[in-house]
Amino acid sequence: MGVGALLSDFVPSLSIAFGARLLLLPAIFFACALTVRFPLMLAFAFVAGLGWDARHMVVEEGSGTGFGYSVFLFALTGSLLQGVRPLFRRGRWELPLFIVGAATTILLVAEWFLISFARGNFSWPGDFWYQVWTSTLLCMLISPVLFYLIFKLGKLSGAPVHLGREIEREGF
Amino acid sequence: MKKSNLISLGVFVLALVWLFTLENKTVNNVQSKFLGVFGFAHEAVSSVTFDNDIINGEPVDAANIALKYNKDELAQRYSELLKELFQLHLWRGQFDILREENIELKRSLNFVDYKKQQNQRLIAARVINRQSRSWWRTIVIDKGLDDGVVLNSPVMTPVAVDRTDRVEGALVGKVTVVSRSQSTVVLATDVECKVGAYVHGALEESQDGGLQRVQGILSGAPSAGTDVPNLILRNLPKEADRYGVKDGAKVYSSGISSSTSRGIFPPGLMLGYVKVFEVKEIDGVASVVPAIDFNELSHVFVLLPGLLPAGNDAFPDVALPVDAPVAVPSDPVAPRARALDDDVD
Repeated sequence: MGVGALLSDFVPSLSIAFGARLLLLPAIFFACALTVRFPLMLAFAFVAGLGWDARHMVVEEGSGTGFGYSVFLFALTGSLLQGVRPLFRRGRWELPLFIVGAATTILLVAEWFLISFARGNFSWPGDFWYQVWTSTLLCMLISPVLFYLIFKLGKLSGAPVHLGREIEREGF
Repeated sequence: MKKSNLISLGVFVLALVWLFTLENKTVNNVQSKFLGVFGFAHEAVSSVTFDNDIINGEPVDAANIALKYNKDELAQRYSELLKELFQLHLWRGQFDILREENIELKRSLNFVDYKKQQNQRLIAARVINRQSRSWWRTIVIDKGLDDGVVLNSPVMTPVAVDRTDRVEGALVGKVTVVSRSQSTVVLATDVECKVGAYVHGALEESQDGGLQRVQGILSGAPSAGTDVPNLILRNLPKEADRYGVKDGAKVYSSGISSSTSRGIFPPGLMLGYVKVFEVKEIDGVASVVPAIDFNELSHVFVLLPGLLPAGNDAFPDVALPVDAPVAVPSDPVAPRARALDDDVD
């Protein structure tokens, strides 16, 4: 996630898609949320949200900062992905791929909603939805690569993400 | 639900509450640390420069070329020359860019000297990072605590006024996060950046029967995508258009904050030009075209707090009186700028 946060500063935006870009850190977090247990997912959400706000949020003196709201958003979307985790651990990543897209959309829309609420101005520019859908599509496209990397990383570290028909006895 | 999940959820909620209740100062420290961590990557990338290829090759005498080279050597020499020609074209393009940059930097140098005359300390900075998702909100510059930059330092850039050689200081924004070698600047086009402003030449009747400047609060207008944002000047009197707030009127910083405490931005900074004035329910609002092109920010100047003679403090401890004369930059810069521009040609 640290590498993702570092690289995200240098990922160019798509001028043809009204400046939409690949959200590398959220994409990596979503991929991780599918593979780890709930407590660890919450820890990842805390780190990812903290880094996201520390990097992007503008804090103004005399006003409520709202610093940390991204932690809440990451935890919310991570919990959504935890719901399809058993399917993912069986090697079925088609549905999780779409859930990653849905989580990206939820994250962006919720972030825009919170920012607009704080500023007291709910305006929806025409290119807003182009940016959201394009960013969602880019995250969905890179997700299989991240899934593959996670599986490889799991095997190398001796903690494989179980594939096959092994039934998961863990409950929520 | 498993016990471990419940416990972890409880700890997470507590951590979240702790984050929400952090003070601004602590948040700024956290952001400074993060900026410092990412800083090395920004510096590494920004230090990449083009290598100007030096044209190697012996001078070729066209009259003796057939005597000097055979057919194969000529073919090889021809391809080498084509390659060098291509490199020359690239070099010429870079030369044009450098020439424009030279003119801009000389103007900036005049601006720095002019500010020195006003006992204001400026430090030049380069924009090293700007993200598309926050294009109209923040930039990252390559100066930080080690260079004397402090929190809330105003950031400005010289701008030619009315397409002449006259140069004035125009507001870019203010520093919101400072690390050792970098700083994050919130731009004037962000809604969070609020500046006390007045319209040049617009006067209204004061309560004691005299005249006072028409003042308001300037901030960025909410926008997204690739639209060039305007600035919004609020809290104007409803009759401001009768007082001189009209299309093309210049807007400057007043040096007064929204409260009665000291202003962060010094007075006399160019902000923009009034585009349109509208009367709202409780006040008048003017749309202001920015004085600078926020799309083309590459070099800026940070105003540093420094030891200044009494009576000329860039950071006054008391609010400026409303009817105080304003030190609007005039022509001292222009003659030197014009002379130096001649040198460039």
